[in-house]
Amino acid sequence: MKNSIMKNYDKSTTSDLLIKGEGLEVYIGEIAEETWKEEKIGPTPEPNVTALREWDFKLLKRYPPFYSPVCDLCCLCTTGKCDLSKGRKGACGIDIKTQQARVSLLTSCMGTSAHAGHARHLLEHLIEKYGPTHPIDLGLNIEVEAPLIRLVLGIRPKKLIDLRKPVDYVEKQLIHLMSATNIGQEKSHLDFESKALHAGMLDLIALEVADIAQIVSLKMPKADPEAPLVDFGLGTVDTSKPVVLCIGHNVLPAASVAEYLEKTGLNDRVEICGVCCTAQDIARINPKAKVIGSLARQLYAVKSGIADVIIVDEQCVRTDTMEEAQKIKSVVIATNDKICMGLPNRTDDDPDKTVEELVNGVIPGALILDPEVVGEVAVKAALRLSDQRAQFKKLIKKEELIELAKKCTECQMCNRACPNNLPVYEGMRLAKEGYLEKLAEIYELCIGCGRCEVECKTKLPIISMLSKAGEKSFKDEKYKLRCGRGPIQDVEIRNVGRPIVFGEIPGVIAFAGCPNYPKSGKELVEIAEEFLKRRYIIVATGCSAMSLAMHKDEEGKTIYEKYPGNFDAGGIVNLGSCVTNSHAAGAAVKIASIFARRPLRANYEVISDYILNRIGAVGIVWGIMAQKAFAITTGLNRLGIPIIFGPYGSRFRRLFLGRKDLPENWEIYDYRTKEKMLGEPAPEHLSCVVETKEEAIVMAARLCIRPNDTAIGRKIKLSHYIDLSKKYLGETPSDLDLYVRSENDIPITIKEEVLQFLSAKGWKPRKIPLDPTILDPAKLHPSLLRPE
Amino acid sequence: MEDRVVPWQIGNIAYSTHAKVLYPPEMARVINRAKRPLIVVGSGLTEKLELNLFDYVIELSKTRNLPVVASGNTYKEFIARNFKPVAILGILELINLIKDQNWRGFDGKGQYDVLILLGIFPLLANQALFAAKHFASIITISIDQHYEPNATFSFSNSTVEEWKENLNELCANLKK
Repeated sequence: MKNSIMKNYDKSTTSDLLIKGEGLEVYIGEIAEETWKEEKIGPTPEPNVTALREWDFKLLKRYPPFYSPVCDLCCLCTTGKCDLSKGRKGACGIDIKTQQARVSLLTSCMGTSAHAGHARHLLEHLIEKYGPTHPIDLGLNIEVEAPLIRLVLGIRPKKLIDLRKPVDYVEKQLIHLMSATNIGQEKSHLDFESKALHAGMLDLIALEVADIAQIVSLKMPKADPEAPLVDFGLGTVDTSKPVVLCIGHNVLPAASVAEYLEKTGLNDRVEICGVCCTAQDIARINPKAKVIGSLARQLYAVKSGIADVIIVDEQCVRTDTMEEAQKIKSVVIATNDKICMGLPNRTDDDPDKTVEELVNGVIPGALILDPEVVGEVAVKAALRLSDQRAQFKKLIKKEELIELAKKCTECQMCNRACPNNLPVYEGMRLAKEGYLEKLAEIYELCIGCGRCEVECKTKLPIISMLSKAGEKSFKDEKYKLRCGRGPIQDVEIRNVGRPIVFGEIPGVIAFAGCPNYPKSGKELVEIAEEFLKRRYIIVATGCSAMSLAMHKDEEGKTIYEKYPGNFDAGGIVNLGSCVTNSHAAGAAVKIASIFARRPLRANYEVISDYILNRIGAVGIVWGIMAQKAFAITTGLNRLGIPIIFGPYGSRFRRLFLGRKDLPENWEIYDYRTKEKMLGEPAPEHLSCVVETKEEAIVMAARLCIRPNDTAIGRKIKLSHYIDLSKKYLGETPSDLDLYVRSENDIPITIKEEVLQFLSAKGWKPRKIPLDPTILDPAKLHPSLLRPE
Repeated sequence: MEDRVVPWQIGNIAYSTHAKVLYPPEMARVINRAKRPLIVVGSGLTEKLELNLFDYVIELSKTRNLPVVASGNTYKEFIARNFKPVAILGILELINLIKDQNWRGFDGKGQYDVLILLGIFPLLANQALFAAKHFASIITISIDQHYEPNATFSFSNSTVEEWKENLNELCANLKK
């Protein structure tokens, strides 16, 4: 009954429910939140575009936007193109700086829209399938089920339907933000950035909705530190069986395949595997599913020909998937309104008829918008296609590769097309002589964009040639990934809250982002392991979490097999797909709320201020390609969490760089004494770009320093910072004097050496704020800091 | 010749202002005229150790006592060669300082007027130069192997051998 009612839910309405029956229409207004009486509503429930502007401006004063455009021009209206170089203004009066900020907002909105669309689609389907009153139960150890929703909207969702309100809110706000990017609207680069920060905050809300909805409905692990280790890598797929490959981010179609296999007892006869975040999420549902890898492996996986059926859902799906699938006679099923691929809509057709059309080549693929139908069609088609496609499941032969290489005209366009400047042409030259080692090396480093193939004048199948050259790695790609566990338990937060806030656990380092690394993903493992050995907490999500699994030590173990999966010193936590980035942010919010007992409900500024000044958390986004990653990082920035990007981060045009050489920029209040004093550049940047892993490691140690560190905590953090700086950059950090507040902060084992350094710098001890804040104490009501 | 003054990386185009290609003697003249030149180097130096670019930068620096900023992972290699760069700093952090006319430089004597770049990861160098072009009052010179459109002056695209010749000729033309 509930399902039939929900089928009639008019999705065009927002916060109100509209129930339609025969001859009946009933509106039910928004139901007031009566149940949360323990905590008073804070100052900013459902903040509108300008509600947190003051907070944003505080951040932007400390961390002014730094712009590196990717173009001199603005091409967004018909009067242009306008040249904005050399101080010129466009036809609308915009200058280059404001234009960059405008694009920053656009980018943030694009990313947030992708996640909000994902959340809406997932939520409505799950409400329809499991009912609006399906409980939000994240397990025994989680009471603060939705820290971000509580923080921003001031509500506690208890049932699936309660998640509609956050999505409604995100959608409404997005319209206002996007409208500001139209010609003639916002004028100030700082206001554009404030709006971009707002979009980032919304993004994290959308992510939280999506992951909570899928965890509670699809039986994913509930904050389980011992979530199963799953097979990972292209080499784990049994290509002798029919193969269904799922690509994208929305797990519903893949879940439908898993469900159909279970229902029909075909689990052992058909391989289900995935690329990108759908893969992470299907493994959370069905640990037998094979996770092929990150976005960087998408083109390789498709071109390898192993897939009989390719299911695409949404986000991060290559635009040429259909074209590539046709080359290897795979069929494609598009499953989401965001990606229809021009395919005929077979949603309401008889599944068997659709299978027939696909197998006989009547249609190259189908659009099937009902996930429940996708499973049946995909499995039936894969079973029929597998044998007839056997010839396409093989790599090219070595002799073929050499013959192809001989066609190379050595024009070097492949090198020039490669974003990472990989020496493809040099590899081809050697391959002509039968030496494939160089191409094998390139396979390891390749980010799988395929631009080399596009530019190749002789149309060589470079990706397939690289796969053959890297055959050993290709076939040996068999690893173990700890599948996504979802959120952090409240009890884990209680255990680590104190040592994190006092600095005794030196930091929490979160790996997120896309796999377009400047070098191999192995660097990610090296960075993570350096910090794991030093008892930092490592958190990973999305493609980064997958890349971390792609390397084994001498004993053949991946990082997930070597280190525990709990949120504690020396643990590595794979939260799951991109949507679980919300739990990384949520963990920081929970520390403020559960450990420090800061009122959480609609109390955004106070909680963010707490995180900025006390929680030594930093994100490393070593690759970044999708606008979604920009939205996520911008959302983390608004919460006071700094981000370190790899080189590709510079291409999103905007950073938030602090200036440690300007002491006046680091003024801070002590809430206890209400005194304003000179602080320290901690954290120095809110977002920055580094070129190498060595710089990233040292920067991460530095950005974990916080004004609230106790002397013991600061000693620990500085001892790592100094040691890592010496190890990776070759010298004691030149800014050490800025982070030593008193002699008590100096690590004992190197005290003499540090004192000498400080003496040369003319260092003097300075006051330490007991209760550091960048909010004006005069405006802070005590009830915002302590529960009444 | 046409290929020598197009951006090396495909798609790295659509700018209204492009770097002027200079031959080494002309480039040397620009550096010789500079009052406060600065060199910044990046990870390309450690990746191409066989080209002895560290030794080259040290030689370049010694011609006019030019300060060197070690970006990327280069500092250790300089120290191993008994040469001390003026700072360890990321390229974008450096540009952030350079775009501030009130910044007093690493020696407290004032802002720099010419920035010479070598070996920064190309995509990042491009973005750094974009930022400098729009927001800083400084002449930027790329002495990398490939044409860099966002610098004020750049070498043209060249083979490794030609590039090494260019580098040597540049050094030879700098005032001692």
